[in-house]
Amino acid sequence: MVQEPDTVLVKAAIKGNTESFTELCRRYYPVMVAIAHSITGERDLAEDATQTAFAKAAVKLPQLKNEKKFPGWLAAICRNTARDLIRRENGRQRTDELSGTTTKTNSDDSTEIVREALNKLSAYGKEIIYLRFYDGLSYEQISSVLGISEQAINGRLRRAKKKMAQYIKRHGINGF
Amino acid sequence: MNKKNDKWLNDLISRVINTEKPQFDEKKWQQKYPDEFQTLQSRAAKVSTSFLWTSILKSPIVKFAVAAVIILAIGLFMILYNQDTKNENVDVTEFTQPPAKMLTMRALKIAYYNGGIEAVETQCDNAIEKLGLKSKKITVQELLTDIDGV
Repeated sequence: MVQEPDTVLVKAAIKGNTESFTELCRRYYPVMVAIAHSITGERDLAEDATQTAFAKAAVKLPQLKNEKKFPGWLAAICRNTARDLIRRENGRQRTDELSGTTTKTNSDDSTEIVREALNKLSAYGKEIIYLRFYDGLSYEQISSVLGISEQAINGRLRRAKKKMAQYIKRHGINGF
Repeated sequence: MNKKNDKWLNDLISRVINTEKPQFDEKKWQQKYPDEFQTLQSRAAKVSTSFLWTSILKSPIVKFAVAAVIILAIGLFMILYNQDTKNENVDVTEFTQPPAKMLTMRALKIAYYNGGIEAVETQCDNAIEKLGLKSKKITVQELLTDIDGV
């Protein structure tokens, strides 16, 4: 089961095989949490959003026409769920507050500015940074979820980091 | 950005994102979303009933059997159809036509083209038979008497 390709597991899960679906959840949980984290700004909310997204996927799975598109399809559900969750959690301001409170506990000025730089990025930029810096995510996984090549991932990552570096530089952090 | 600065930025980002790999807890998920999990399970039950039919229809033996039945049916149809057409090909004109028509020049000419002088004779015999005329057997004596008038 662990070595089965995604397409086989997706086909089995569509037929109601719970073990296959669980294995897919296990495989994509970190990636989806990273995506949701880039939207919610908080880890716990991201995990909640991901679990809700999996529940929605379990119900909607027969609607999936092409098994190969499962990662992208799941990511789309996850993004929408995370946005809904944020709307329910007192809107965007509340999110910023939450992300602020979590940092204030053990962060210095530089990490606060880096966090601000991260929040200034576009949704795509923020998402690629989270995906790249989440522990244990391979380029292959990121590529399958975003539906872009590894070169495109590198390009997007480079542009996002450049913007962050410019922001940090403007705010007087040394190192550049 | 040079490599040194890139590493410095990477370290900063890693500190901010502060990620350890999240682990999916399936038991908790099933408890949290029992309805969705049940929907997934119920799909398996539905599939298993239809699985029998799909496996029957997908079986190569069944495919061959169906193909054989179709071929057999087509073969039977062809045989029956040929028999019918053979019956239709039988020329009934000679039986249905009145004797007068059977002996017209046109009818005799057609008969000659179809089967030569023998066919003309047969057609004449048939016409005469239909008219109810029977040829009597006469002896040579009687024939000579009839000719000589003796």
